[in-house]
Amino acid sequence: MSTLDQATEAILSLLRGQTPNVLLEDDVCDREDLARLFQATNALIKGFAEAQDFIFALSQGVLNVDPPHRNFLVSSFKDLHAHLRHLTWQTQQVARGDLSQRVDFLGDFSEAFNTMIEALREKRLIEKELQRANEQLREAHAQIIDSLQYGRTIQTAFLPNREEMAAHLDDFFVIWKPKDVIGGDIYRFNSIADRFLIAVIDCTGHGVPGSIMTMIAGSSLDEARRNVGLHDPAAVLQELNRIVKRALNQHHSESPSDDGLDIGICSVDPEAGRVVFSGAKIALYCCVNGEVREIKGDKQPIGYKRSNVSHRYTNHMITIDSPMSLYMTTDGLLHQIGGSRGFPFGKRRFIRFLIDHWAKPMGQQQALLEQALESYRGDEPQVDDITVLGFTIAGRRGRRHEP
Amino acid sequence: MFKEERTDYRFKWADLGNIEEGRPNLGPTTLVSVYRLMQYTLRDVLISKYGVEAANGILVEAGKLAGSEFCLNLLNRQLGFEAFVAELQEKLKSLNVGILRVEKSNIDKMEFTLTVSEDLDCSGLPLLGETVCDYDEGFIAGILNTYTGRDFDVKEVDCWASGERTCRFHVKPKE
Ligand SMILES: [Zn+2]
Repeated sequence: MSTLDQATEAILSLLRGQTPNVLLEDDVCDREDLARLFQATNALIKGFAEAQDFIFALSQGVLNVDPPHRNFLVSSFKDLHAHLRHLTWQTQQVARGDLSQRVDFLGDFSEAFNTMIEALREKRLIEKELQRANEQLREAHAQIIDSLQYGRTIQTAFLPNREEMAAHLDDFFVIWKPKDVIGGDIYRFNSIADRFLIAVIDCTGHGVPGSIMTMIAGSSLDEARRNVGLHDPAAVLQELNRIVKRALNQHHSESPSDDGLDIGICSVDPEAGRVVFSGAKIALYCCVNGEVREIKGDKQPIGYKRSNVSHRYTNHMITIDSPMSLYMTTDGLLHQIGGSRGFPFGKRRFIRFLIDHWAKPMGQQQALLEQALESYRGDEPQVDDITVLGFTIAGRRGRRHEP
Repeated sequence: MFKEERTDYRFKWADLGNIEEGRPNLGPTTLVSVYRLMQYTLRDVLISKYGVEAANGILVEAGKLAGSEFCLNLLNRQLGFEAFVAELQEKLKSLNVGILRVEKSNIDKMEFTLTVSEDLDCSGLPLLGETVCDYDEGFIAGILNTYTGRDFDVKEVDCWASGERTCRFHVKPKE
């Protein structure tokens, strides 16, 4: 092959994308212009080979290959190479949580990348915001729980002293189970000489508002009792109705609140074997000789706007000849949802319970009733505050004496 | 102030003067060619008087002084490294100095590969087959030195003038 043909062949082969594996021998050429042509062709072959290696690596995503120096065949690829290295670094920074970077002047890449960073920044802000809100919420919740716990301490202190009750009652139990930490149910006990007053009260609402109502109800009951005495529970209720309405300003029709309470109250003279009961929507259950008698309270509740202050509540006289168990309960027990069909516990079930267990020691009855309630409730939440009070009166003939 | 004999550097940022007041009509900017005219004529004279090596050394040293003052006056040194780089990048862009990009970083070793595209000193120069951004080398070293308190070696490995499309600098702490 002639020397010129060799050069032509080499160039054609480059044009086909193939690197000739032999360089032309420029030193064997005696013509100076041909020698220069050979040198230039050789440089082209070398540059082309370098370029191919570099572009191939680039196409494979291999970025740690340095671009061939002083090779202008791949100038634009060098730019691309530098940009890809930079984007790789940027992406690594983002992966490390560095959202301070941005990409400039890389066309569509810049926009996409910077938009992503912006979105990530916003997300981070929202996360921080959420975290802060969560912390505030947790703190507020802890404060509320603290305050409720303290409220419970106060509400518990407001309940009657058990020792005082025990001194006057042959046997008794109290189930006091607010739905929340504190609640709208309370019970009261007051004694003067041999006679005592025992009451169960269910105020509107539960939780904090309910518990505030119990404070009003309890102290109003004390006031009513001081005003009219222990002997006439119906009169106590009428007086209580008047006091609560005044206390909540519910004797004015424009008052914003309309709250009140249900109550069952017994005035007991154990020595004489006599109980006088009066109720406002709370009943008294009397159990003797395996029979249960329900004495309903009046339908008129206490303290509401609609509660009539001139309503005279009914006194029910019960004479006790042989040992009798008496019970009062708020509707939290009777309304508790449970069982296989999600029905309320109900009065019938309660009466059935009393028939079965009335003669047992009160402590045992309490345990059995709690157990019955829990197993009936199952996984259902407690729907309302629950208070059940049971006590025994030995009666005129069978009074047991404390040892 | 400008012409006293000295053995230590006395440049202050205030020496740049009140350009707003001084150039109410022409404003604060000029052409890149004017900047290069000054740099390359100065370089020419420095080389002919003191030789290539000394001239390069002078340019690096001047760049370092400029970088240090730049960092003190225009950058927030309280930022963490990543935010600092982002700010530097933004500053160089807004001042039309060049487009700084990071290719590689090892924060533990404080080693970096940076590129500067559309560089004020060299982009578009005739291809000379040599790196010319000595002033930039000093400039980067000066910024990092002032930010970190450590001395850095900055070497321009690729340059527009050496036939590359972007100037590439290897940065590592001085041993
Ligand atoms: Zn350069």
